[in-house]
Amino acid sequence: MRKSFPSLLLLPVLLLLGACSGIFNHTLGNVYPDMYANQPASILVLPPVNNTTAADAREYFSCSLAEALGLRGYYILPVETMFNILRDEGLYHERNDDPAVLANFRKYFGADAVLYTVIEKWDKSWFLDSGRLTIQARFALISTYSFETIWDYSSTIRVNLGSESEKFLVKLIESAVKTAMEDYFSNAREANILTFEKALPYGKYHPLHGSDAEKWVNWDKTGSYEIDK
Amino acid sequence: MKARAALLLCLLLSACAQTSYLYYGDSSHAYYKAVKHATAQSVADYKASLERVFSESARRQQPVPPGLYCDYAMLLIAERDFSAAREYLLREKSCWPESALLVDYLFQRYGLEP
Repeated sequence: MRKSFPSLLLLPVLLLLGACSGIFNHTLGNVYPDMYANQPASILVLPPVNNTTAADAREYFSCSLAEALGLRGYYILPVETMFNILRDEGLYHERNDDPAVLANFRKYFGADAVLYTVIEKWDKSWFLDSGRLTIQARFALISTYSFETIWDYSSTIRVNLGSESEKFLVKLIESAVKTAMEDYFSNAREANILTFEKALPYGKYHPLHGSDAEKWVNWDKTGSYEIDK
Repeated sequence: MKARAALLLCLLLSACAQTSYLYYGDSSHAYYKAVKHATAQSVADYKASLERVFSESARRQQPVPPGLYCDYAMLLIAERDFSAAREYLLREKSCWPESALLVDYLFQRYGLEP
């Protein structure tokens, strides 16, 4: 019984050290090796899946993803052009994860990877004198060569919509009166740009391409961020 | 003294400011409005926003962001201006080699001379 005591004591220490080294060694290069070994140059943005009750969230994302990805140095196939083709081919509402379909995206359009986006949360909450928008989304890049996931990330962005009473009241009235006219596009745009800034390695066209393999990234491929308006 | 301090501050700020390697202007927002409202005005506004991106990118000596020449060409095709559309598709292909297959597909789809 005495002999086993040191090893029993050592076990949690070793587990803790292992966990710590695991957490602290997570760099973009370690977490997403395929993004460095076989990095896609061209990305096809597929229509986002909207799991929220916010009807406009899908368009907010589909219209802002090309810019957010383009700024990271990738060639993004023109979104509206591709959406029209997908509609004509009956693929717009499909998941499009079949290897044969993915191979055709490469063969006919030159897409090295496709981006899947699932919007999980689009919640507006109002407090006494301020508002907050919470956007949660999952992203995945699938290679059209290996059909494997080469990058994935889940982000939660909290957008503080303002705390000045006067400004807030105006916004609240505008929101109540013009619900159908609400335009939260800039929030989705900023959220997507921030997410890719935090977790997506630079693509081949970015001036800093190849310099971020040692950049730290959350070990569980998730991130929570705040934006103040 | 104040002028010197202001100049120093300007230099410091300009040194710290990170200019993006691509300029999108308000084209993404204009695109959203065109999709959302689908009116002649919103589409015209989107087209104008793309033209501003083209001129500002040229002024900055930066490439036009990927896909925007192509999306502009699609607007021209909707206006049945096939000659100009062809020119912008060729620009996309020239600026971004990854677009070659798609541009060839679009030439075929709309019966344009490659």
